[in-house]
Parts: sequence; C-alpha cells; structure tokens
Amino acid sequence: MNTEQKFSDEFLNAFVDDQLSLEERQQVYACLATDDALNRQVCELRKMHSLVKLAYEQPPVPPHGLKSLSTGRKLGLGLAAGLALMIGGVAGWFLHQSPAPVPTTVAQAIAETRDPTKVLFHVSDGRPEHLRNALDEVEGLMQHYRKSHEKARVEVVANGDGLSLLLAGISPYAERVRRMQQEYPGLTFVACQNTIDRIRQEVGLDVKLLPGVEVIDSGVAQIMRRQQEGWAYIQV
Amino acid sequence: MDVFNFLGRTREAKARLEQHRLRLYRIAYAWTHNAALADDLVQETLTKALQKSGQLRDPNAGDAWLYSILANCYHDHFRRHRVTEEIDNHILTDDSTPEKESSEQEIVLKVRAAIAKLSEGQRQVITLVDIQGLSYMEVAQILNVPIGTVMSRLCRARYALKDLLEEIAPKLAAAESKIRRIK
Amino acid sequence: MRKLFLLGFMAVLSFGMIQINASYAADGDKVIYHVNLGNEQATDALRNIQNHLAVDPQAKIVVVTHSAGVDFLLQGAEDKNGNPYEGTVEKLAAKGVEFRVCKITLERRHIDPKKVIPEAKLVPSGVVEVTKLQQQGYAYLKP
Repeated sequence: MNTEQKFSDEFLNAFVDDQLSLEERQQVYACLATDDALNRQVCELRKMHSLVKLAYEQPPVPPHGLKSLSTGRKLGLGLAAGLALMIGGVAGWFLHQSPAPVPTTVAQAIAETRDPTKVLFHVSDGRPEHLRNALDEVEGLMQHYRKSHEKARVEVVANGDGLSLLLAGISPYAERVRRMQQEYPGLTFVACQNTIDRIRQEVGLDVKLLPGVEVIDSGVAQIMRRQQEGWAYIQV
Repeated sequence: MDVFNFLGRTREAKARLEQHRLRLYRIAYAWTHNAALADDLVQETLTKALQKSGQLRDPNAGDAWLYSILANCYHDHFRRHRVTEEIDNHILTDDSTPEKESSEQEIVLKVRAAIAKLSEGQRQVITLVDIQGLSYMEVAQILNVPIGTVMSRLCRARYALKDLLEEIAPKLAAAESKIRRIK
Repeated sequence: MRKLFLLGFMAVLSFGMIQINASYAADGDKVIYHVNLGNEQATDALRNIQNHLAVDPQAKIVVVTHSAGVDFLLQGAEDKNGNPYEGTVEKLAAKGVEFRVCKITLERRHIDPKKVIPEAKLVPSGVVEVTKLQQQGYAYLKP
C-alpha cells in the first residue's frame, strides 16, 4: 500500500461502487486527473468488480431447469433460467407445421378442405376493460380469418377472475357474448368448473352461466389438452 | 366478489416473486457453486417470501428483503449440514478441455474458483455488491453486520481476488476490452 | 399486470402452471413475448428478454404487441421514470430481437403508423401473428 495514499482502500472501493456522496466523489475525480498510481488502483478495483459480475451472468443451472413456485420443476432446455422469470403464460412446444401458403384465387375452395386454425384464448382477468379488450381481440381474429376465407375454431376459456365474463347477472358483456356466439359458428365460450366450485366454497354463491356457454372440468387442464392437440394459445 | 380479489392478489404476488428468481439464483450459486443446492435455496426463499407477501409490501421497496431471506436459508442449511457441501466439479478442476478453451469462459471459471476460495463473509459481500449491485447499507442489513464490516470484507475480498487471479493476468489484459463493454 | 397459473399452491386453489411434458421444439429456442397490457408490462418484458438472452444468447425472440402494448414502440415513448424505451429496444433489436406492432390496434386507436419506431415491424393483426408464430413452432410467453 502506498504510504502517500490520500484515500483509504475502503474509500476507493466505495468510490468504485458508487457509495460516496457527490462531494466525496468529486474529491476522487480531482485526484484521478493527475495521479497515475491512483488511476491504476481504481482501475484494478473496477476490473475485479467487472470480473465478478461477468463470472455469474450466466450461471449453470440444474439439468432440468430451475424450480418454480408451482409444484415441481419447469421444463429446462437451457432456457429454464430465463423462463423462470417469465410469468404466467404457457410454454407450448409444437412440432406440427403450418399449411403451405395458397394463392388467394383458390383460397375459398381450398379453405374447406384445410384443417381449421385452432386458437384458445385464455381469460383470467375479470376487470371490465380487460374483458372488453379480450372480446375485441377475439372478434378481430374471427374477422381476419373470415376475410381470408380460412376456417377457424376458437375457444375462449375463462377461469379465475375471468369467469365473470360468463356469469349471468354479473358479466358486463352478456349481450356481446350472445351476439358473438351467433355471429361466429366456430367460436365457443368455455367456463371452468373448478372456478365455479371455488366460488361456491369461498363465497357461498351458486353462479349461473350465460346461455350457450360450455363447461369443462378445469381451465388449466383444458389448456393443456388443447395444446397437446396443436391449438395455439393466447392469454389476453 | 371477494374471491376474485383473493385469487388475483395471490397470483400477482407469485408473479412478482418469480421475477426475482434468476437474480436470486445467481447469488445463491455464487455462494454455493452447487446448482442443485442453489436451486433449492432459491425455491425455499421464494416460498417463504410468498408466505410473507401478505404482510408487506410496498411494491416500490427494494429487493434487499429477499436477499435477507436467502441469507437466512443459506445459513440454516449449513447449520443443519455440518460437512462442507460438494462444489460443482468444474469449478475446482484445472483442466481446460479443448471445448472450454474460449478464453472468456476460462476466465469465468477461474473467477468462480477464486470466489469459491474466499472466506464465506467476503464471498457474500462481494457477490451481493458486484452481482446484484446492492448498496453497502443494504448488504449490511442483509447479512446483519455493521456497515464497516461490509466495507472491510469487500476490501479484503477484492485484494484476495486480485492475488488469486494473478496467474491469468495476461489473459485478463486481453479480455479487458470485452469487460469494458459489460455494464 | 401479470398472470400466473397456480398449481396446488394452496389447498383451495386448483389453478396450475402449465407443464407440457410432451413435445419439445426440436429446432431450437423460438419464443414469442406477448405484450398487450401497457408500458409496465413492456418494461417487464424488456427486462425479461435481456435476462433471457443472457442465459440463452441464441434464442430467437419475437415481441408481438397490440392494444395498449404498442405504446412503448412509438416515437418518444418513455417509461414511468422518464427513460426512453427506444434505446433499450434498439439494443435488443441489434441482438436479433424482433418487435411487431398490430395494424388493427393502430387503426382502432387512431395512431399514425409513422409514429412507430423503425425497429418495429407492422403486422396485420397481433393475435393472428401470435397464432401464426405458434404454428411455426414458437413458444408463447406472457410477461
């Protein structure tokens, strides 16, 4: 250590870590302008700082990826650590290919023979403006496929807070749901029985569904099944 | 409807906590150099945090509290297991196989090996400061030591690191420009 | 605003995190980040993507935006601390991340397409884009 050292080691480390007050920092800057030894010292400290940061930017993860707050482990493909940050959403990995593009002139004829596009919209947020957005997106998609003469099968699966979309006497969009059911034959609204049961248990309420709404055992299970059948998934 | 709020709140708490997983994992790995153990410690940390999340929290408050929980889990673990935990092999072995000859990767491994050799207190301080960017005050709270201790441990840690890494000094110089690009 | 499935977290809840044990995409890591809720979600997404790339630099990431999710890709957009989004977006775009903006949203919200920053591409419909990418083997993530 340099006997002429103006600043203690702790002080210099604090400088490198941005823990000093403005005045203290200015003192160091003033000396750095002329003191080579000081410069080297600060440089060394910065280097150590950067090395440690670098060394752990991409830590190795366990073979099956990091755990999650749900049971068990998530899928790991080297992505696991990154995916662990991702909230919600389903990671669906598909191996099927999309149909080859066709000229629009024969689109209509061919559309009848092609497999329909299958999309599952997942609604789990019950706030009215969120529900309205969701319905907008569903209609947008239905209209797109109608315009391009493509068959589309769309399921809107509501669970958790999102179930309110499909409850009689509660849904702010009962009339719109009815209209959409009539307008788009490929569209189905689906309610989650688990949520229905939850509500009865938590709140003591026996909910009534809007007409034409189908029921499945569990929204989550339905999403999994559909994904395995090759449906696309969108959370709105 | 109460049930809607309840479900929503818990979901949100979980989602918020999951955001921290990788950052916590980096620290846990830097402390243990054992991927499986680090994963377990982080899982335990987030589970405990979720249990407490009802009592807190100002969403704008910092993350330091999560690292407190991690530090406690870490200490509890080593109190329960007296033997030193096995460190992932690649940290300690000295063989640079042809596949690992990327000099940046070699530096990474050497730095990790050096960190593993530091005393526990020094290792905890230097990783919390350098990897997670926590302030000295936060680190003092997390590790439950005076701020002066944090500063002196950090000092000694960086000196020790410098010594341990002397042998790869030439490679470091070469990698200098790369390091400068890391922010 | 984020969504999460809870699987047996508490005895009374039966929502679950989806775990697909079936097929993995054999052709590498392709991922959609779906952003439609607003700037807060966008900020989360950008941070998540940076972390994602740190762990997996080869990941092919496409950010699909619609509804309130397009705002961060407009000229002059700033997050709640006043930091412009464009810098971060530029950096990620330079690393190969793609940003796509829904034309239907622009029409519906009367946003001039010229206000969209050059790093982002316009697509006819955001949700259709999300669907199409999944048909091409992309995984779906919702920050």
